[in-house]
Amino acid sequence: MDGMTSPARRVTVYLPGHIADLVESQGKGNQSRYLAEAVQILERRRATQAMLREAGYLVTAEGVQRMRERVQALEARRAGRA
Amino acid sequence: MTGHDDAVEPQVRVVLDLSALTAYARLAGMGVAELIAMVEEDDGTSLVGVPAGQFLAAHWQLEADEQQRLISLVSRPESVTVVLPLLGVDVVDAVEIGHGMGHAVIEAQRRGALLATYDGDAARRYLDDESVLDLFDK
Repeated sequence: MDGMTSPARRVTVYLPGHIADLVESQGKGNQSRYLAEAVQILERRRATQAMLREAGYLVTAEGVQRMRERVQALEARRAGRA
Repeated sequence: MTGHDDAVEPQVRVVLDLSALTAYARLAGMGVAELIAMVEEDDGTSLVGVPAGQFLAAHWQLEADEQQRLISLVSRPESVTVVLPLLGVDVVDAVEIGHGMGHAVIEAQRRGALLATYDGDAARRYLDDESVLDLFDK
């Protein structure tokens, strides 16, 4: 998440038309932030998946979903208590 | 234009204790790996916290190859896992609870995060039942 605090720099990139449309649809003041978030999310995914893979873990969608349900159930109990 | 002004602050959603860290490093169960993958998938800002106190305790217990897996867990700055520093007088509270989960309990309480552990009975001595995520598959 350190990238959000580094100095901004202007870059020129070429995007497929439908992707450029999505970026432009964010409005003039929001396009840089939109792209920065998208890149950060992609990098976070790549880094996390590489870490797990290199450690020797092959997680399954079913296993992740079971964990998600357990975590969300606990968080719902906490929210209900608050 | 920086676009940084209203950036969402990352939030620690789950912290790992000694039992979770050693199980991950020893490939002794899928629970921690699935938890990390889940947090990564769910949104772009939540994190899995690795308390410095439990990281040190785990490192001392592990074999060399297992230590490398533990180090890799915290060595990718872009990843979803993050080391949580142990500062000031928190060290006293941490050692009073114990090296298994002392710092993890402090972080779970302070951040409103879940504590993931294979030792749920011990965790419930310090945390509410709904703050403890039991890992079963060791």
